[in-house]
Amino acid sequence: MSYIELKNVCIDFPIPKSRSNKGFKRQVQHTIGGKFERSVGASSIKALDNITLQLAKGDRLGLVGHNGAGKTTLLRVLAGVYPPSNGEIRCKGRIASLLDISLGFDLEASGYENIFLRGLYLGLTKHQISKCIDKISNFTNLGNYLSMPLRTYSSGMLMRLAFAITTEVEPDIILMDEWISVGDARFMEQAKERLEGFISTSSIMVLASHSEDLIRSTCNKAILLGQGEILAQGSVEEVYHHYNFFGSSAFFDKDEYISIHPDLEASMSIPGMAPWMHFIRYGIFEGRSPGCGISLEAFDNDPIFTNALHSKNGLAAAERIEDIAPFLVSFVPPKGWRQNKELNYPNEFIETDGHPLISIEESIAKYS
Amino acid sequence: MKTKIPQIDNSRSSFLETLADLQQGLMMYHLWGRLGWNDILQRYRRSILGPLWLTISMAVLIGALGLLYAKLFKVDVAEYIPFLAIGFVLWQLISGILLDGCNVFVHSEGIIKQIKLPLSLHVYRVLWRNFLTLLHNSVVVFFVLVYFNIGVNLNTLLALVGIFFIVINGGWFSFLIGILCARYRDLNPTIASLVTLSFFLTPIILNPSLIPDRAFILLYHPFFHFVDSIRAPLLGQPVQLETRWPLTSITIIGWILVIPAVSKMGRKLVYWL
Repeated sequence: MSYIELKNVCIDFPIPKSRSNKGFKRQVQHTIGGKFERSVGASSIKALDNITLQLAKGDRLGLVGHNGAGKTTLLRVLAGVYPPSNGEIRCKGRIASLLDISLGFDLEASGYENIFLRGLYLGLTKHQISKCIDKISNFTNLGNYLSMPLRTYSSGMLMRLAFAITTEVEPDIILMDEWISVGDARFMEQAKERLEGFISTSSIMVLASHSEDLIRSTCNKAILLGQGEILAQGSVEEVYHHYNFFGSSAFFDKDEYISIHPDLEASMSIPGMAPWMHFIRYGIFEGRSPGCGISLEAFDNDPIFTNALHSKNGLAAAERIEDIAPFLVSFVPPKGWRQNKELNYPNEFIETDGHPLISIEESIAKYS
Repeated sequence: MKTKIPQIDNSRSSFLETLADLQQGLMMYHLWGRLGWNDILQRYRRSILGPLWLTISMAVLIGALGLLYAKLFKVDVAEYIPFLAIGFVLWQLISGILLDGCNVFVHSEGIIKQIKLPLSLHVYRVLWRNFLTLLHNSVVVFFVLVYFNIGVNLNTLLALVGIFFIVINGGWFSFLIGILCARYRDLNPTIASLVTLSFFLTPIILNPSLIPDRAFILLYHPFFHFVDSIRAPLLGQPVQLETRWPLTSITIIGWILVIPAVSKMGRKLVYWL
């Protein structure tokens, strides 16, 4: 019986402060009297933060989230590639990771040779591969192309080949990153049929994708990731509801929200009432601070914000806060917060007394 | 902490894990054997002669350099060319392992980040690739020895032991330097220039018997021991300096030092790539 269990898994990516040795650099600096830029800031990025997750037979998990939310990192953790810096992973079953189509493919070698190569990567013996080579070539439908070098293949053909080999080993756990949509309609149908066959026997599938249709049609569970944290998990329907409503921002710190509004603690225990949801539905209208040093008074003169409140659109108002927050003097960025690269200065924003905005240069200097 | 699965196990002693890694990697000989051979093929894909080019270019190099330097050093061609041929082919093996060792993990980044495989697999691949290159080059040595009528005797078998030593030591070196080069990207060019330098400091072109009063320096030159332990028996000469002890100790000390180091750094490797 295959399963995957992650318990409080954290992944930190180290960021080397500089390419050269620090002590050495300092020495050079002293000797030649030059000025080296001193790097300030975190020495690591938290790519996954406290992920707890259980998957068992028959689970088809969809990973949802923006670019950089941690989907691929999570897949790689599941594949056993990244040893966690914290936490525990337990899993059982033969894992087939289809994270990259071209893994182990030698573009100059023929399709048949590559079937062997990929098979060996997947841990098959030569004997096992030659036994199933006919089945694989039938499934790919590539015919004579299999004797041609792979560089003559289209990306769809490469994917057929990769998929055919990888699924031929009858994996217990399949990890996929966004590639299934490359094939044509008939192949997609074929692929889906095969996957469904596995799932019904014993497999687990984890699929990261930006395609809502794909996840809705293939998965029976989903996780919403945002800046390395699980923001929501449950059925595909629930998770997409959350995603479409709140996005995948970790801008809002749920713990801080509860701690600055202790009167909310009781209402938080109601199932389905996440702090975010409370803020969007009630808090923002009651003038409650979302935390991060933001006071809603700063928005009193802002037409976009006040209009959103008037039309009872809490989400739009919250989005406005998110846009403006990096320019507020009092803003304290939450842990793990990253500033949007394409930062636009809100020229149309009307400041309130006592809550001035900082310039775009100051903001960039402050948060980069 | 308890875990049942060896693959993604972070509770077991990392020392044992490294030993297991070495063993599991070795067992995947089908894969690294094929990958190593593919590496060579890839260089010569779509050429008519294929890997035979390795042999040909080595033959040309040895022929040309041999005639030239024999003249320059005023030594007998029949004596110099076999000396040069063996030395050169061995140097190619040594420098190949040293240079490929630096990139062993960096070049396999794509694989390491996609699929969980023993790290040692990539090391075996590099060693195998260089061993195959050696086999191609050995053809030249074989013809040189036959042409200059240098007999084969029991001592010749000692040469095989010497090659074994080079490969075994290449193993710990590649493993260690491969990880370090992934972490410190300045290390790779450093090693590359040192390897070039060592070529001139190792008696490959120059026969140490030309400078007998300086030969004692070679005692402290590890590459010399590796080369000489193979070249001398092939030429039917006694090994010039006692090479067995230095070689054995380098091998043992190397592996003893490297396994704990690798255990410590291996887990972090993927984050450095």
